[in-house]
Amino acid sequence: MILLLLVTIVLAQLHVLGTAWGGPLVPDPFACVLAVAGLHRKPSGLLLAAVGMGWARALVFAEPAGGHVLATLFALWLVSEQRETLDKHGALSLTLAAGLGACAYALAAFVLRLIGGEPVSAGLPLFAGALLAPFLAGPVRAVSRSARRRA
Amino acid sequence: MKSQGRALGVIVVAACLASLGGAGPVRSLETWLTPLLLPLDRAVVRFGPAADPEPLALLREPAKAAWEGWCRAVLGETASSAPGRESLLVPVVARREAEHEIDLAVPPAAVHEGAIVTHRGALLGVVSGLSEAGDVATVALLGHHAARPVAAEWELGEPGHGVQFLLAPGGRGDDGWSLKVEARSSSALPPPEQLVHTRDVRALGDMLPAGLLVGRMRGGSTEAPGGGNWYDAADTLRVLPLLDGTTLAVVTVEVEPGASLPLRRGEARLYGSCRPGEAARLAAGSSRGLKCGDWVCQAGLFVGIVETVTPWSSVLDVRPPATPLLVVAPDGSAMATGQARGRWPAGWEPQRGDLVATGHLGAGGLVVGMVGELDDEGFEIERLAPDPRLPVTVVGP
Repeated sequence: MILLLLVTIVLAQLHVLGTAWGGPLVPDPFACVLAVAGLHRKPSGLLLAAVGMGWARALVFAEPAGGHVLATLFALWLVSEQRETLDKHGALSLTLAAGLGACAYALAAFVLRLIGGEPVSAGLPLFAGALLAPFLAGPVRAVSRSARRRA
Repeated sequence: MKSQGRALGVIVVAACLASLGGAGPVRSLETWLTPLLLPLDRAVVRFGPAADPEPLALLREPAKAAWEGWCRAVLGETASSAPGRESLLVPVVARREAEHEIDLAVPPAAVHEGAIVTHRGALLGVVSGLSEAGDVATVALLGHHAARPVAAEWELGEPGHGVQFLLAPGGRGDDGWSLKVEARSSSALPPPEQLVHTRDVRALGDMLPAGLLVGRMRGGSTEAPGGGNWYDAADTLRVLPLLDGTTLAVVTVEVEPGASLPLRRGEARLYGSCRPGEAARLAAGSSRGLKCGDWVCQAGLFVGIVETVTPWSSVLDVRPPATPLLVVAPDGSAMATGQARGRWPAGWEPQRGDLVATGHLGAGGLVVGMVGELDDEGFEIERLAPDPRLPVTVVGP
């Protein structure tokens, strides 16, 4: 949870820096973090992962954490539920998981904004961020393999 | 183990819903982790693009002038204090619409119960209570049972030659809070819709300044047989106050001569690595004296209002303040208005590019931005962004 929180904070801060120079469509790598956590975390650990990631995102976006945590939880749960289906796509699995995570996050954010009236940012950069997943597939697989060997 | 996980899930979801619902303690708790932004924040600020200071430099002076003009207007042309006392501009720090009361930050021990409160030459109410330290005054707005009776008149011509009556609190009716006309003349009464002013009754020991606007007459008939205006003796004549005190940000209050409002002032830094939106984070909190409601500005630019405070960080609401919002035309004329069309004066419309300014008693006139697109709802404001490399000033009563 703490690692995911710190990774999400750092990536979100770098995204803010990128947006300041490149405009609002600079890809947001959060979708990739969602995909990695959804595919590789145990289902029992998803709740704490969602708290860490959602809270971190809320800190950088200066928005209420509740909406981000619930949207992250929904996205992680959906990716985790589809883990077997996604794994069948081999190298594409991370990209598909990132896309699914981004869609789920955006949908949950939209619904929560309607219900709560509070901002829960999830726009085009999140979907653009899913396109970064192919570049991360190799390193993620290597890390996951070494983690499995250590276990 | 499973039941523990389920309990944790329920707690997390409940906390999330409370956060979305705007529960203060939860919002405060979730802000406690803000210092985690610190390690990378300086790098983000350092490598980020610098803000262009030129637009702000051009707009700063017109905003200041507009604010000073507005302050003069709030003080009003009519004397709004009893002889031997002074009127002082003070901020409204709390509004209780249901109770029809507002709280003002006032100089300690300089305001007494019964002191009158005005805005632009209109009487708003009287001080009905003071905090223990004497630095917060509760105002009973006109119509409130705690507001004292007011000697009033409808001026026929020269001041002091009007139709005179007494106004007593009338409570809340279908058309809002009102005052009852007491001790009315049976032969001459003002026609409906006429403006009612306070009258000079110093000879009777009441030091209420004369000529302050109180409200507008209601009741009676405009079409009386044989001409003129006719009132049923059984009718209760009412006066509706002109201004709704619960919508104002700055008012005047009667104080001892020479009293001034003590204002806190401090410096802080914005987190530059937070995404620009409706809120921003400040790297200072209650340990440095920040309080909810404090204004944050930077070299004449309005940045936001503190809405959540933890010991070492705060969250700012960076949306433009609802009031006072001044739209300044290129010729320097300023209009106190709102963003929504419903709050614009009849026949007035802002132009794209007009300066939007606001102000605070401790910070003076502040630039908010410029009028952007106009649509059926009102106008948008193109905000000027603060420079995260520079410190911000926090001011509050």
